[in-house]
Amino acid sequence: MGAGQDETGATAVVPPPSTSHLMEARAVTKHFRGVHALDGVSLQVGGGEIVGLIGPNGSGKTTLLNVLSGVYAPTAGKVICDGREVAGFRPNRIAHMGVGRTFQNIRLFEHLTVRQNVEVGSVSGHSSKGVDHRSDVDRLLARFGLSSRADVQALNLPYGAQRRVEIARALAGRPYFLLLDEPAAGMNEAESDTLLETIMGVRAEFGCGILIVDHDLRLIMRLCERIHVLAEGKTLATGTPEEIRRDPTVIEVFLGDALKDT
Amino acid sequence: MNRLRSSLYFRNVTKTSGLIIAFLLIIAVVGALSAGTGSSLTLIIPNFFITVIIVIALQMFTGNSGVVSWGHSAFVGIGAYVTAWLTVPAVIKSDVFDSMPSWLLNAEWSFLPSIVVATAAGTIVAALIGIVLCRMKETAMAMSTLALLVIAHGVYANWFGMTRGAQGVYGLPQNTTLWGAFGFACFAVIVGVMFRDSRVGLRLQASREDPLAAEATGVSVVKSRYIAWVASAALAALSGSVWAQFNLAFDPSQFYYTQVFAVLSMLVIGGMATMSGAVIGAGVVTVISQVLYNLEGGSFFGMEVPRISGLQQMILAIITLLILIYRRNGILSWWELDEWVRKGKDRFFPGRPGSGAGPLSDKKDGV
Repeated sequence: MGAGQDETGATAVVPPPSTSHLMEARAVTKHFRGVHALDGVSLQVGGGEIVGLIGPNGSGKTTLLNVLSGVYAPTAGKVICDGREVAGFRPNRIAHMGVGRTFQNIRLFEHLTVRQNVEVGSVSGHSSKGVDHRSDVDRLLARFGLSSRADVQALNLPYGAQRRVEIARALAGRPYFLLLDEPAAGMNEAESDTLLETIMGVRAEFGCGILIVDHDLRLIMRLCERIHVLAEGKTLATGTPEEIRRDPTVIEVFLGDALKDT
Repeated sequence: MNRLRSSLYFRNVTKTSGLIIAFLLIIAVVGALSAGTGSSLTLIIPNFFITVIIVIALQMFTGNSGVVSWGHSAFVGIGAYVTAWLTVPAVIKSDVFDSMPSWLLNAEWSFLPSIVVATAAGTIVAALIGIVLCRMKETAMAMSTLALLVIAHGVYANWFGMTRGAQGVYGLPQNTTLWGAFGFACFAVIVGVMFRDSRVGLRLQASREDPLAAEATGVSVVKSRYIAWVASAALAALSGSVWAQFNLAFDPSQFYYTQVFAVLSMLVIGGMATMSGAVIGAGVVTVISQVLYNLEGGSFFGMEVPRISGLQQMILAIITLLILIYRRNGILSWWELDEWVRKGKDRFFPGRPGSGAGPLSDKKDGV
């Protein structure tokens, strides 16, 4: 495991930051038996960009993430990944195009070891030709402080470490885009601050565009360049954190007091 | 080699298969020593080795994918019947197979070529069925394997001209020896361990844990299952061929529920997730079955035990049930024999590198 200890090694895991990548939802609509979970939502995430997706419960945030990652096919609209229409593709094909994700309720391969979890990402992710999986996995484990628990079954890890395994597994696939579904759920302020640094670090080291869904506005406001607000399946507002903070409709509809102290 | 092996950091092909093969070797030596003594061991031990092949075949698919297959005995049957077609002496063949084409009537193949062709036949059938089967959801797939078993049995029992129906087939030459069976069991162990630690095997285990997360991580669940299905069916057909050339006569009922249940219970009792579990499960069930067999019609602490048909299966079912209730993941749970040995050493001789992880520290395991 010694080789994985140096920080500089981590940057070699994926291609350097790039702005040439673009993931896009165009007028995406998703109905579940008459329930309009998403209604004509358009959103873009560029390579190396951090975009926040916020909104009250049931506003369609996770649905949008599921459409982008191929878990759901949209009822109408397009999903375009690096110029290619991918709506209706299976999740594994979208993953192969360079899209990694985490889940709101952590979904690890529980009975596999931590190392195996990350390995699955490494050997199944996108553009795996000529990749040294073993050293990649070692570096990722070291990067996320998991080296000492590499051979423990994932279900035996504490919550915070499980979250890190999930992110490491997604990054092991060398994604251009990382979709994070409520990574700060269940975290206190200190933990959320650590997460902020981690995500910033991930962008700097791995160069991927990040779309993050969370209720932790303190985190989102400090982390994101752009924020997309959903309400009842529709886009309520988009803009910089500053614009969102001042947007009267956003404040009025659901943010309220929560924004005043950020 | 490096391409094939993906997760050799913790699990070790050589160590795992080495320890299991050493275990099998001891049994083989016992078998060799019992030769000529008239002991029933000369029959039990080679049959145990063949059973090991079948259980490992099932482990490759069901253990790694988490999808139960009720249909593997269909492939054991294909292996056995194709072997009979190829090896039964021409003189007997005309009596046994009414409508056998003349080019096949004169075939009197030897041990290895017949195994190769029988395995290939099973592989081809599995490859065709798998195209449809592996696209199904888990439950539908399991149900379909059951349908496969019933269909295959229907064919074996009714294709009179080629299978002699329910009366069965006889006249196969005894080509499988103790060491032949041992050799194929070792082959199966190595194939099974290498498959589990291959990339496909790893992806498949990921899909067993969480199909959705596996797909989102880039795993093609359908493709992984398909490869495992075909490979494990091939091994099942191979075991059928080896089995037929040891037991020399058989009928369709031997590739039906009784075998399916016996093999599944071995896997459940030993532990589905590991190769050691499959082998030890096969061993435990073989021993229990023999003890029960000897007990039936004899006496047990002075009590008369009547000869009841199905008593063996009933007690096996109860043991399987108890394992499912009290030790859901089987005797070996998630760890191979060598990993248990290593972790045991770490516990009793602490302070050495590698302590702190593994079976003995995972108290929450399997809850």
